[in-house]
Amino acid sequence: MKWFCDSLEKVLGIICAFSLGSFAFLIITDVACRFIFHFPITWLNELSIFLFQLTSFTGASIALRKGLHFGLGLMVQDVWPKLSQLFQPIAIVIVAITSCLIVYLGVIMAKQAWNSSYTTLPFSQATIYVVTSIAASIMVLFSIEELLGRLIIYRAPKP
Amino acid sequence: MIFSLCIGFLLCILLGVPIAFSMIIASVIAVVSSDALPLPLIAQRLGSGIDNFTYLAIPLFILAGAIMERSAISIRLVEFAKSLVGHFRGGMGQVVIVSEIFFSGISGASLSDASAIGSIMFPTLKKSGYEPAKAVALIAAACAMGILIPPCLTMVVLGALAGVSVSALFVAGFLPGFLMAIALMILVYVQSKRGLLPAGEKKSSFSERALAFRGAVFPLLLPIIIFGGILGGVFSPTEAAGVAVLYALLVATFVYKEMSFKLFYALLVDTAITTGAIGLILGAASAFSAILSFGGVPDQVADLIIGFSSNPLFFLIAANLVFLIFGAILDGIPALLLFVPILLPVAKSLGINTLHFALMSVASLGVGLVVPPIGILVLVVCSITKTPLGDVSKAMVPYLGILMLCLLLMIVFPPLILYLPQYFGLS
Repeated sequence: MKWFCDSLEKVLGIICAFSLGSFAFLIITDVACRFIFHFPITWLNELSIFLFQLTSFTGASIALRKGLHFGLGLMVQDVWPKLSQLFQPIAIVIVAITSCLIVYLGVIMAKQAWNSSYTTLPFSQATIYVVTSIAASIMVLFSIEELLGRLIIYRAPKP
Repeated sequence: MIFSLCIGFLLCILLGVPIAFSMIIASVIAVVSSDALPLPLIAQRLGSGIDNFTYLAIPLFILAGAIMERSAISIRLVEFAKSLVGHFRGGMGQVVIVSEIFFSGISGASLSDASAIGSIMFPTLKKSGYEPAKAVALIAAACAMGILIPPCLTMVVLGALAGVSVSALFVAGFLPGFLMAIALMILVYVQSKRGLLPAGEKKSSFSERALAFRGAVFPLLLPIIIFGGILGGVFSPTEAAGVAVLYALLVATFVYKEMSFKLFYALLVDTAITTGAIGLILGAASAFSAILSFGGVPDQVADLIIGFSSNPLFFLIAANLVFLIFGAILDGIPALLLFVPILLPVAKSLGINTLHFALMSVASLGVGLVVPPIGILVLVVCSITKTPLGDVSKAMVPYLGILMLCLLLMIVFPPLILYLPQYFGLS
C-alpha cells in the first residue's frame, strides 16, 4: 500500500506542479497580451481560476499525507500528550469520514452541474466537482494508509 | 443549527482534526440537523469559495518568495542591512529588523520569513553576544512586524473576503509596518544602552556599502516592480504576483545561476501543497460562514456588541483582542476566515472605515502569531534554533509590549493606516 500511495503522491505532485506552472504562465501571458500587444484574451482568466482550483484540491490531498494542514494537532500533542495518543486515530477517522462526504456531495453537484458550461471554456462546470471528488477519494485512501500504519505500529511486539 | 455547528467545530479541532475538515464536518452536521439548507451547498461552496481571481496571488507570491529564498538572496539582503545599520546600538538586532523589512517586501508569507531570517540571523546574533532566548524573541517580533509590509498573503485573503481593494491594503500596510519597525529598533537601542543587549558592530565604509548594495540590488528591485506596477495601474495584485514569479525566476536563473529544473519543480510542488492547505480552508470557510450568515449570527453578534457599548473604539479594541488570541490559536488565516464575516458587518454598522478595520485585523493577527506559548512564528523560530520555549516566552515580553502599543496607536489614530491609500486615491 505504501508503494502505491508513494506513486500516487508523485503523480499528484506532477499534476499540481503542472497546473501551478501553467496558471503562472497564463497570468504573465495575459499581462503581456494586454499591455505589449494590446490584445486581451478573454478565456485566460477563467482557465487560470480553474487551474488554481485544480492545484488547490490536488495540493490539499498531498498536504493531508504530509500532515501539513492547519490545525491544533501539535498543540494538543504538547498540552495533553497521553490524550493525543487516543485522539489521533479518532481524528484520522473523522478526516476519512469527511472526505467520504465530500466525494458523495461532489458527485451530486457534478450531476447537477453537468449541463452548464463555463462562459469561455469548452467544458462543463461539473469538471471542478469531479476534481473535488477525485481529490477527496485520494484523501480517504491516505487516511486509511495512516490508520493502518498506526495499527501496525501498535500491534508490533515491543523490543 | 448554529449550536451544532459551533459544538461540532470545537470538538473536532480539539481532537486534532485539521481546521478545514473540522469546518466541513461541522457544516454537514449543522445542515443535516436543521434541514433548512441543501446538503450539496457544502460541495458547491468548496469549489466556489476559491473561484476568485484575487486568490491566485497567494500561490504566486509564495512561489516568487520561495525562488528568491533558494537563490541565496537572504544572505545578500542581510549583508546590505548590516552595512546600513550594523553600527547602531544593538548592532545585529537592528540588522534583523531591517533585513525583515527587505525580506517581507519580497516574500508574502511570515512563516517563510521566519525560517529564512531565523536560520541565517540566529548564529550571527549569538556570535555577536546575544543570549539565544533574546535573539529568538527579536527574530519572532521582527517577523510579526513583517506581516504589515506588503506583499502579504493575509492581505490577499482579507481583500477578497471583505471586499476591500488588495492594492489599498498593501499600501495601507507601509506606515504601520514602518512604525512597528522603528518602535522595535528604538527598543533594541534602549536595551543595548542599558547593557541588556550587545553594542553595535564596526561601521561599514562607503565602498563596503556599495558592494553590499550591488549584491542586493536585484532582490530589492522586486518590490519596486510590484508596487510600481500596482500603483501605476499597469497590473492588479494577482498579475503583479505573476510578474514577480517571472522576475524571480529570471534573476535566479541568469543572474545568480542558482536555479535548476529539478529545484524549480520541487518549489512548484511545495508551493502547491501550501496552496492546497490554504485553498481547502478557504473553500471550507465559505461553507461555514454561509451557514453562520443563514443563522443570523453576524446580526446577533452586532446586537450583542452594540447593546453592550456602541463606542467604535471599544469595539476595535475588543475585535483586535479576538484576532490576537484566535490568530495565535488558529495560525492566522483560519481566524480571519472565521471572524471577519461576523465582525465586519458590526464594524460597518458602527461607522468604522472598512480599510481601517481590515488592516487592524492583519496587524493583530501578526502580533498573535508571536504570542507564546502557541504563536506559530515563535514555535517555528524556537524549533529552527533549538531554543527552549520557556526562556523565549520571558524574553518576548518587552517586544510584545511594544508591538501592542503600536496596535493601540493604530486603533486610536486611523490616519496612520488611511493616509497613504487616500493619497494614492485607493480608498
